[in-house]
Amino acid sequence: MREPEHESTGRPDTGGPTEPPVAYTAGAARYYGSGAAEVRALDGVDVSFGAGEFTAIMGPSGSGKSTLMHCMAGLDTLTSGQVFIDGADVSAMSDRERTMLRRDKLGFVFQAFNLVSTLSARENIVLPQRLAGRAPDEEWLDEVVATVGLGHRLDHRPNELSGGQQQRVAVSRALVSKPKMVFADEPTGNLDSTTSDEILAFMRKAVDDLAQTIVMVTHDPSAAAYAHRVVFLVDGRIVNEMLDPTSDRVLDHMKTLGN
Amino acid sequence: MLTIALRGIANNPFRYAATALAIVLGIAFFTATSVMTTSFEDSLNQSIAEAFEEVDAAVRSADIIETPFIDIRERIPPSVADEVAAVDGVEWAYPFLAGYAQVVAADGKTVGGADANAQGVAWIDDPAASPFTLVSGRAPEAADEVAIDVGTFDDGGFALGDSVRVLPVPERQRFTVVGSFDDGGSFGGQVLSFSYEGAALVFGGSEVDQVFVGAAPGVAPEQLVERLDRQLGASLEAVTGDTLAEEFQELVGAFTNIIEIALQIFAGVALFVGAFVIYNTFTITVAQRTREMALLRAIGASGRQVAVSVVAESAAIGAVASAAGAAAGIGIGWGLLKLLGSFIGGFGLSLSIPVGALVNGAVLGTLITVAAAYIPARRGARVDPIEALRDAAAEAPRPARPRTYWGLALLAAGIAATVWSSVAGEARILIAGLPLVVIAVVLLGPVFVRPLSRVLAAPAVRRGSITGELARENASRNPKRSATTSLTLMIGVALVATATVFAATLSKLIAGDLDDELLADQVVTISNAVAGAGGGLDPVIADSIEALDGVDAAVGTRTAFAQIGDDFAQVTGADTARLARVADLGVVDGRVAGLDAGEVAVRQPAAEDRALAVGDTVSVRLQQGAADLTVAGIYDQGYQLASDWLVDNSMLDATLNRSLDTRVLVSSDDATEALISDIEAILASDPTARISSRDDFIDDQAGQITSLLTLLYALLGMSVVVALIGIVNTMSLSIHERTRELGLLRAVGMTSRQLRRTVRYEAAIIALIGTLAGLVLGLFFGWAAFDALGLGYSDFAVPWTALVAIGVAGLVAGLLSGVLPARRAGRLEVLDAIATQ
Repeated sequence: MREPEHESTGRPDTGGPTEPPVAYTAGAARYYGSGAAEVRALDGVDVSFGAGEFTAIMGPSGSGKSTLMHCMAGLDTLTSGQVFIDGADVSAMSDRERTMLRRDKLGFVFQAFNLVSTLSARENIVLPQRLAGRAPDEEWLDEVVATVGLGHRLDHRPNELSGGQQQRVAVSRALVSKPKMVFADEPTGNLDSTTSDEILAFMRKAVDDLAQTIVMVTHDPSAAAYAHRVVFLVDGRIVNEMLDPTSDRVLDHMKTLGN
Repeated sequence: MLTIALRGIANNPFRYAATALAIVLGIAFFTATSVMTTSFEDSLNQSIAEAFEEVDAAVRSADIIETPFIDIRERIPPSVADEVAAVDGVEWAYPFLAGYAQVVAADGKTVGGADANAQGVAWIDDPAASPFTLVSGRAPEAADEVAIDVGTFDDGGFALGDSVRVLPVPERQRFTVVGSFDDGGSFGGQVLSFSYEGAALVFGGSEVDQVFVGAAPGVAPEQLVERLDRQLGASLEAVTGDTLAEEFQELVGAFTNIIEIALQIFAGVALFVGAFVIYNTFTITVAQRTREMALLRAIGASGRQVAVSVVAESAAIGAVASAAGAAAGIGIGWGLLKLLGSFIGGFGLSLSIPVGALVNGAVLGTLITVAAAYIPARRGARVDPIEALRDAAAEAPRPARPRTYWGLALLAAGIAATVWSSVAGEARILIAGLPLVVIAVVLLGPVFVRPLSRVLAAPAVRRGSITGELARENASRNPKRSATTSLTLMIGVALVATATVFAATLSKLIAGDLDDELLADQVVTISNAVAGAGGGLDPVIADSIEALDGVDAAVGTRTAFAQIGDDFAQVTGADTARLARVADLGVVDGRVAGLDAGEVAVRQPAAEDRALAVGDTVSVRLQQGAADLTVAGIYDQGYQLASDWLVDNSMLDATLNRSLDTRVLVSSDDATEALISDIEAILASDPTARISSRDDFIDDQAGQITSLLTLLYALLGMSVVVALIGIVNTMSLSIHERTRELGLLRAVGMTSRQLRRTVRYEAAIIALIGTLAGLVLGLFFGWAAFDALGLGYSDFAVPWTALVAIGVAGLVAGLLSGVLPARRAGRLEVLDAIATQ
């Protein structure tokens, strides 16, 4: 585990002295509406994410945490500033290039509606590769599936799986193409605490064992505790960072932000 | 609740765009037919009234032959005009005679093409009595003078003083053009006018159709008719000019009524299909609004109120769309009227607006919309308030078992009834059987959607196409919805396929009959229009052809309308002494060849109907004169060439003024090119004649049925269009419903192009299911209908090429109907889609 470099932001985080970051933003801003109705969802964010790092993004409602993730993943476009993923400028990409980026280099886990209901668990997991017209790496698939512990339910449809099982399928899908980054948007928001812990432990395991990079948006301090680092957003700006968080420290910090 | 209903429409205008369009199209079609036929009828009635405006009374024969169209009245001697003129109160009396006549232009051709309507009348040289007004020149006076209606005069490039040929008068007799006239638009097509003597020459006799009478001042038409009836013989009758006009108007009315009903049946099919589209729309929207409705229920709305709000929504849409449809119907009807006018030509057609029919259309459209929305509305009423608290829509249930069993049972019963009807020869059982099959297909539709989707998507899936696989799963995700959508297309396709199969079979039957009957290797024919107007070929033509070297026999056949017993019948006339050399009628009993003027030969089915045997006597009445004929022989084939009744030309010549050949059958030793050009040289004397080889003639005759199909396709096209709108609609609503899932697909890397392809494939699968089901049903119906008519299986023809073409058209239409929803899905903003609640 690396040592904390600074407690607050203000300049781009280079991710460490030896390795370039997998992703970073420079002055990322996203405004919605105009004039009096203008909402600054992101207001000049500089943040970077190093390889093999599990980062949680936290903040009160409307702080811009989801917008940040959407803009990084090429689901939304910046009003100004830049996003780089794996060295490529996402903010300069066309819709098609962003689709290719998502398909080939990114993985996603959403809060709900994570799976295609007409496909079996296995088909859902290999969907991004099928879409890319590539044969899935069967060995890796077996390994991921074994890690998630889904082996015997692979041929079931999503509506035959529990919420936790569905989310494990979603995590498997995000991991199976060995993406540069996995974005998780409130991945445990719909789950009970036991199931949440399972999923989060699995995500952490993927980071530790498989060297996966994960960025997770959450409002749950106990979920954030599974991350290496927590980035706090308020009103579209990064206000703080915390390394090796625990749920109590996160909760305490959140209380100071809430006011 | 009403506010909620109206706000619901206002907030989602596009959700109901397809519903509205289906109704607009159906009602527009429905009202357009009324507008067209009413305008046509009114315009014709106007012309008829004007044509008989000057006529106070008409004197005519009391004897008629009733036909399915216009009754044929016996002609009367021209002397009747003098008798009438002598009656007290008669100001004037002119004989009127009309018949087939056609002028040949300088280029040797007729004016207005082979199918132009053409007739001739005797000129009435009294402005007070004539419906015509001279435009140039003068009225025809000598027997060899002709005046031409101004349209034909201009189109044919005629000039006063031209020497012209008039068909069917032999070529050596020329006519001089002395004038042009305006026929007031009451006749339509080409009208020639001759002096009374000239008309007698052209029509081959001086008998007249009727005598037009003008009343002296102070004498009422009714009074005049009474006096005429009293003073003339019992074989004559007098009617007022108004009655005469009314008779024609009734005929026009009956004709337009048939057309209107026929067109409205097709409009009805389109509306029926539209009803399914509406049903589907409301079923889907009610399902999508389950939460909203449950919320209403939870805050205190009764189930009834929820249902009423849905019905109110449908009524509002139905009323607006129907009104728009009725309005559009006026425009389309006007367009159709113009189109009709350009086909038949010569009639002055003007638009009339049948207010009653428009109101009926608007009410009908509203009722259909409300009725189609009723079941979904009831379903909305049953929404449990707890649904408001549950998570989004559950998966659609799979078709229930009982539905499958019922469907299979009805299918078995329907097929059994159909087969039984064919074995037992009972058409009535078929009428029960076919609806059973249709109901069974409706019930089984959802059951078949999944396996059919699997089969149809198999080629794409085998290539490893993920889009094909997703499309297949989407198509079978809600089997009821897909089935209802396919069903709308199935209706149109089934009707198209039935007609295609039936026509192909009938066509094969005719071709087979002709192949058996026809010994000749060349056939000279005239157009249907000329034959219909009573025209034909001068018998000299057949004789001239027979005189050619290399011709074995050239025998003309002709047709006359007759009354046999109480029934209308067509009688074929020929030189029976030579007929056997060109046609094989399959003589069963007695003798068909060399009939004399007192004999008739009868085809077996007709003979059986009337229990006639050789030696029996049958009474045959033609337009002029009746005769008791002895049955000389019975034949069992020959229907195509000799109809059911065959007489010798000598019999027709003895009774009719003039009978002309409608066909000449030519047998040659060897149909060399030289011989054909010799025959063509003879035919140059009559531009309406055409020579065909035996094969071409058979193809032509057999193909006439198939040409009717084009019209049928056009009329059924509207239902197919409505069904395709239904597919667009279902797809759009489904996409709306799956917004989040599509967003997910896009988020994990599906390209916009892949998404669009998935949507198009799904539309194609649904369309293909409908098309295939329609083809199978159509094939079955075509077979069943053909069999029920007792025409036998041996001729049952499956027009594979046409059926495959329909299948391909279904595929293409499906892909096309997917384009719009696909584009909509492709434009989906990924983020918005994911964020949608």
